[in-house]
Amino acid sequence: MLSEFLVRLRALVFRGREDAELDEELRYHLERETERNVSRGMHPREAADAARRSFGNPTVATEQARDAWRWPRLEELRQDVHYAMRSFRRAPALVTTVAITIGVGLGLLVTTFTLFNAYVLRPLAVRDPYALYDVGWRARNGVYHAFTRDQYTRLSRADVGFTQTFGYRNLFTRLNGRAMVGQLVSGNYFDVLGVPPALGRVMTPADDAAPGSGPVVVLSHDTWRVQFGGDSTIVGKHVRLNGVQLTIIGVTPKGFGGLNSWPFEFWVPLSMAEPLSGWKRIQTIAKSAEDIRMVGRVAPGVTTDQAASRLAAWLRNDMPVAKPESRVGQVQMVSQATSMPLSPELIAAFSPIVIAFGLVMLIACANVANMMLARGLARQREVGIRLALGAGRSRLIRQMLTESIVLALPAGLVAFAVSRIAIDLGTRAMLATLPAEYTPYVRPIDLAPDARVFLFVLGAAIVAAVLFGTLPALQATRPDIVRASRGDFDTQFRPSRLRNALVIGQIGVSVLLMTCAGILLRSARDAQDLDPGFKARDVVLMEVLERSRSRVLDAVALEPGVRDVASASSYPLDGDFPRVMINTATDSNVRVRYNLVSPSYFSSIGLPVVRGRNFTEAEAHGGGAGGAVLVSAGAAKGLWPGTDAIGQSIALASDPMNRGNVAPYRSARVVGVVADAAPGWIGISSDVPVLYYPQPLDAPTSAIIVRVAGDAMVMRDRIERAATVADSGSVQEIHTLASSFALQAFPFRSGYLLAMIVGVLALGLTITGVYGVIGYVVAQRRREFGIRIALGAEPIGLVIHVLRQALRLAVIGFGIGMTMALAASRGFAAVLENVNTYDLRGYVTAAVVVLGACVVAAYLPSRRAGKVNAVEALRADS
Amino acid sequence: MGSGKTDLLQGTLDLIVLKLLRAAPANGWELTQSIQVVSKGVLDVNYGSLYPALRRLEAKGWIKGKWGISENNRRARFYELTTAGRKQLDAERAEWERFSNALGLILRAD
Repeated sequence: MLSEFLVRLRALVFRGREDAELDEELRYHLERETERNVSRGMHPREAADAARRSFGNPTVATEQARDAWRWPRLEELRQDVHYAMRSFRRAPALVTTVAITIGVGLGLLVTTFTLFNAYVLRPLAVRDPYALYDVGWRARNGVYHAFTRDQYTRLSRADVGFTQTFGYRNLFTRLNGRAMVGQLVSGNYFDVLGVPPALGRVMTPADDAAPGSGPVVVLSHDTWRVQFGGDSTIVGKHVRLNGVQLTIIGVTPKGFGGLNSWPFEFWVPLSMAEPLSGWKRIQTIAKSAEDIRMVGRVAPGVTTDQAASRLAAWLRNDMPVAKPESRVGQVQMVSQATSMPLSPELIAAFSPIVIAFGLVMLIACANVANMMLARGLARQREVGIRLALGAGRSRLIRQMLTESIVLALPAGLVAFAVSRIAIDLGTRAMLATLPAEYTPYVRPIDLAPDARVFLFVLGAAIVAAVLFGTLPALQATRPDIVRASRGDFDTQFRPSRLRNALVIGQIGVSVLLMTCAGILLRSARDAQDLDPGFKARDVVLMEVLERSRSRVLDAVALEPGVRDVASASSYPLDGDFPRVMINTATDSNVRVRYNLVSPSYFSSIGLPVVRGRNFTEAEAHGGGAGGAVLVSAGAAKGLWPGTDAIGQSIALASDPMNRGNVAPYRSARVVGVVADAAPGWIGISSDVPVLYYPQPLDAPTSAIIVRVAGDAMVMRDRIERAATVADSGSVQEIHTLASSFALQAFPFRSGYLLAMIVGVLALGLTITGVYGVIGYVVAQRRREFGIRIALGAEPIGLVIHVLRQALRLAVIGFGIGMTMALAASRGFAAVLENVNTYDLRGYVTAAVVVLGACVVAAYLPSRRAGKVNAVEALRADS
Repeated sequence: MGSGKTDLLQGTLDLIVLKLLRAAPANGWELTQSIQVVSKGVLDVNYGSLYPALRRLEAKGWIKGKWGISENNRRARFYELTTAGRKQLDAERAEWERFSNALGLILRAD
């Protein structure tokens, strides 16, 4: 009831005034009653007494009247909080320990949530982001398709359930020797997103009117500030991108970086795609290329499913003739409301981290629960008396949980501070450890905390309080505590069992985390030492504009210090190679990785041809007609086990995936075998089969690979300069192969670092947990030890006795942890091919570290058992 | 109590207060006096329990309290019936009559 709520709320807000008014009302009653009694002839004192008698107990009446307007639970809560604050003021050490223990554990989770919030939860700063969807479609055979230029134009005019659509293409380029990432977008882009200019104007459809027109560019706020020094007169100035002069027409507002997980730096009209890409020479490819992606704003009242099925129907009608397997299967709509849509892949990628951090949090909670159990034991007299006096158990449990929550709130503050520091350090560490030439691509998005982060901190602190507070509260208020409060303990009262269980759990989780850290550490080192199979040093890789290719190749070949120039359709280390389906004499329909390479490729990257011969120039220029193919040693062994691979034939199977540049190589004969090398990604083991088909040096869309003499970084700059002199703006990407390798090793190294941090934290928390529990056990059994010593027990025997007890817990915990670690490492192995599930050294290291740490942690307090002074212990009041 | 006075049934005090306030607004002391007079001294109202009842009724929105001046020129809190209170009184009175009829039938049946 609303009116009731308002009355109670008023009573809560104006607590003091309401109390005063109630007192006044009751006083009025008593005075009138006294007056009446006096008027009936009573003596004034007698009259007052009679009035009070007829009134009953005024305190009870006041209390009840007060409660009528209050929420009794809230009132209790106020009292409990008050009480908790008072008792914690007397125990600053406990408050500090809990704040640090829980704060560190929670801090990791808050850090993760801050990232999750920024990428997945926070809506982008554009108009109604929840209606925006990125649209594409899959054919029945599962191949993903975007749209061709013409298709996009027709589609943007059709009514398929979107109020507005815009087309885009990402553009990687270089400006003044620095990598830049921007977008080619249709003219209505800024109108669809509702983004106004901060300076100048944004793009309009007029800029995107006809192919080749509209040489203009809009800069992002960050780019304008960092690259152009925040020049306020920048509008109207010119910039050269890919050798094309563009006029800067405006700057976007601060905080806008497009619809992506990393912010874009500039936007150019889609009409400039051809001049900027230099595709003119081979327009036929450009025309049929499905290189336009589309984002649509779903019309109000239309569901995404409806829009998807209408779009699918439109596409089926638009492409009537197609082989059955390449017909339109289903339309994919990906929400653009936030930087990253919440997908199963994302959850799969992040859940190991969240689980590891959650486990650290649980260990921290177990530590605090142990402290609270000890505190509960110290308070059992108080609790026993209160229970005996008739306090409800649930009331006492509520009170203790309130105490836990009061205790968890400062921990929440610490957690927040930890998360800010972790984010700051993490960002710096990432920028410091990434290969320098890749850092321009890394632009972290805004990670400032917002209301969601604060709510998470509060909610998580309360959950933590319930986690560490429930068991101790239940334990401390057990009915038999009344007996215990009379000093009558040893019957069935065994809180130590609970504490032992908590410690076993802690040790188990610690072993799990340490083992995983150990395994990841060793795989990271493997990845670091990994021989990619070729010589990554002294190689420069570059990607150039198509129209500049021959001029750049000529210029680079003349540059002093260049030893060899090659080309390949897939970079040696830029992601997994594509696959093709083949038939051999023994197998049919096998999918094998492939690369198209110029004959100079193998010598350029130092990959030896171990048997047979390399391609000839004639084969390279034959466009597949020569029919020669080289295979990796892994392929030779895998495809023709026990037979000589040379001379075997490989035919492309009829498969719709066998499209594009591999299509002409219908049948080929193996002429040579090359050594194994990582197929584009060092996470894949080198001995997987790879086929190498020949292509000429100047094959379009290929990466250019240059073997240099001397310092690769210096040569990289010289090659870029030479290419720019040959054709300005021709270089789109340029790296050293060593940096590409370091970039691929980066996730392994950072994963190792993260696993190490988690493992060390877990171990630290476990050590303090074991130390605390053993210390408490010793303190509790002081009397018993005193008696034993008095009866002639050796002090060393007592120490060993306590240690044995600790070791028993450690061994049980260790067994549990090992079992879990085995299961977890299988999970890793499923994701990362180079993780060794049964890495014995990883397990042994973890075992030694954790067990050793437990023994040390237990030894320090157990020494006290041997030092108990018999007389003192017996005299002291328990 | 065997002295001819009857304890109040749970909840009946609310009904009595509503009924008395229907006639005219009154303060707490006046209500206790009216209960004495109207019940001819039969009902033993613990005056102290009246005030929690008044607050309860006010929280439910059936009566409304306002500070005013009493007949002997002192500040006192006066209560009046609200429209919701009037409806509640009618409903409760009907309910009470049904209940007491039923009880009467049972007790008289022999």
